[in-house]
Amino acid sequence: MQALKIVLEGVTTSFRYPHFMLGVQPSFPLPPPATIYGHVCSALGDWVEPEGLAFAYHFTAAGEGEDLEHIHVLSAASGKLPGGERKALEGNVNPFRRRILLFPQLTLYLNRPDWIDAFRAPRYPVILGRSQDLAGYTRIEVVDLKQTEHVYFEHTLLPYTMATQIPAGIVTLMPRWIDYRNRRRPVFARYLIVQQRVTTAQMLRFDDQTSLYWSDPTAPSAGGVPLGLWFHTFVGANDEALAMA
Amino acid sequence: MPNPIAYTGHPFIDVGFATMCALTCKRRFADLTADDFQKVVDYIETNYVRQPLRSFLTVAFTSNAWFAQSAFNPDRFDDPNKKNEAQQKRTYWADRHLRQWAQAAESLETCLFTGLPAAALELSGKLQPGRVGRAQMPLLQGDDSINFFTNGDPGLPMAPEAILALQAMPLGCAKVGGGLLAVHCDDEALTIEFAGQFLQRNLADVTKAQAAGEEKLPGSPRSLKTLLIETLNAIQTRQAQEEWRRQHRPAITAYYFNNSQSPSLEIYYLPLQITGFLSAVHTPTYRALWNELVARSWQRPAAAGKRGKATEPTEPRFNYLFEDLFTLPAQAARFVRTYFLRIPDLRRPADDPRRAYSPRREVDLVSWTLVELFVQEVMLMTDDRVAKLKELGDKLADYTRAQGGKRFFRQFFTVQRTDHFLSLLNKTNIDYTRYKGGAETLFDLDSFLTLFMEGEEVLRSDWRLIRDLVLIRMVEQLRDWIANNADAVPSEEEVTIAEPA
Repeated sequence: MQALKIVLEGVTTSFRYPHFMLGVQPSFPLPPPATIYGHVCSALGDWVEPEGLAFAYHFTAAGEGEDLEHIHVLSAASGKLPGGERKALEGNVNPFRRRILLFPQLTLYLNRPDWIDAFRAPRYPVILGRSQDLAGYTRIEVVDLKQTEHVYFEHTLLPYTMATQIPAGIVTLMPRWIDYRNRRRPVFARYLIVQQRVTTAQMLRFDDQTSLYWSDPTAPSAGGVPLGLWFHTFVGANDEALAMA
Repeated sequence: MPNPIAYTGHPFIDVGFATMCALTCKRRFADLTADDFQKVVDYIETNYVRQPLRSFLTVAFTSNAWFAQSAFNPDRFDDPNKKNEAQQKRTYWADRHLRQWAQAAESLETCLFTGLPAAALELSGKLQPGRVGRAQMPLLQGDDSINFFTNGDPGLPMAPEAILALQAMPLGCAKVGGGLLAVHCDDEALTIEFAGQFLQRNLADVTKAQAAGEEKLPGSPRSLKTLLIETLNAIQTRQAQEEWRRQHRPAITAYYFNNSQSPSLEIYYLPLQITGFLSAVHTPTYRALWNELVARSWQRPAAAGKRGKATEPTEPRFNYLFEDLFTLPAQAARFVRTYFLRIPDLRRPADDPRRAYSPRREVDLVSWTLVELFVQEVMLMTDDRVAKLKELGDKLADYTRAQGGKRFFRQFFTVQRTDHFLSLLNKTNIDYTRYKGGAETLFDLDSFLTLFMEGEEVLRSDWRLIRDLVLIRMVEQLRDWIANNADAVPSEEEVTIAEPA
């Protein structure tokens, strides 16, 4: 099947844990699905329907560090400004320690090869993470993915259900999708973050599980085994992988 | 009928429900009943308003918490009217934090985490009804701030059951230094086990402090990472004794936080490969050796004072092996060299046992069996590569015993330069083939490439680790030979000097 493959590179990025807002803001090591959804919408310039949309990715950073960032902590205000205008907000500048990832590289696969022109001329500035984390696309192409029994996964997000099969990784709750048309209502799901290389030969396999995985023949292989891709959805069952024929 | 409470994936809420389960001896969140909720409420209502918890729990909930607010403390007023007014205010806010689950009020929103109806009544004078802020959930923004909240609406909508869980949560955390350690697992039962271990300690400490009239809650004598692994070990040991092991390895994340005036948060992960390894070392094959390695990794007692006075015996704070588990798998080479090959680090301070490790004196601790498990579970080394390592170790042990002798063994042990290592391997391969009368080589091209090379031309950057692994197998195979040739093993000074910078 064909997929849109986009390579994004930047200088910094940060994927904030959504429920830790004070003093320190740690970063997920990989972008949450909701970040990918926002990024796609930004390129297309509209809130796209999440139904039927699927993505897979490979994400690396050259390093990580901590930045001291000033945040304007705002609250609703009443009264008037010196010029007579109505005052809506007021706030203070607070320092935050934020974990940042350096020189991120995201290789994103979308099941929408027809969106290639949107990524060649993105509607809004290309960013990944915070609004100041400017990035750029270094490669945009349509690739033919193959289904194969033996692949390797690394630096990627897998559904939580695969934690029973895979001998490595960490499990975390991530924002899966944010419904901007419903007062930005967030939806969360658990995912398995796999950084170390894991091959299908190392994975447990159960009788009722699929033994075929999508792979990218144009990505570097490891010992002759191609890079595996797991396509996530934004809505529907948490571990849903769309049929991609 | 089971309640609709399920594992949410959020650490503070899940640890809260786990604490409630531990306090009421329930095995699953769904088993909690209204009676259980009431038992939790009774404990909180009685003890959060008293010392040592009253002031201590501001670490989790800030001094704006309902039980900590000085204006709601009836004991500070002599005037009966003011006393009564303060008590009424405290009861008003206590009810909203602890008892909304028992009320059938209509809510406006849905809980973000449980999917249940959010609480219907306010939890703060500033937030919308049913929404929690920093005084209810650690590390949220204050009640006024709009930053980071969806749609700019301050606070998070939360179900009354989850609000009660958040109130209970600190009891299932360990007090370490100036903060709280919440341990969250992807496995509900293990989350309950951790909360239960910490809860037992906290309840005992609270009771002791109240009986003694003390205002402070003592903290754990252990460091955070050591406490986490020590507690996990205790749980796994008990599970092993009960002959009940989990079907899959758990992912564990620890949150060390402080929500008071200087808020802070540190997150520590124990990924699946580490918990899988830790689970396996408690099985009979590995248990005795692992326990011995652990025992020799505890911080040593402080030396006698300047005037020769013995210092008070204190519990050790660190187990260095436990601490270093958190550096894996990135620092696997150093871990193998330190704990499995027993290479000392003479730069360490006197209370660090790693300073006194010795491959010569502790040769009985050098075991291939445990290392094989480590490289498979933690480093995800494939079976064929492990088999090739073992085979090379066996052949080199045989060669050492029959041909190479002490000179070769010492060279192999201490070589640090890449060109010297390649040269030694080539020479040994020729010698070994000659020793076997041409019938066998030390390794074939495939084995050499698999073990030592990146592709076909570049030596792996971690060749020292591979060498150390081979060496561990050699030492195990040569124990009797080493016993008669003790000087074949380099001294502590020699191996330390040979350490790369």
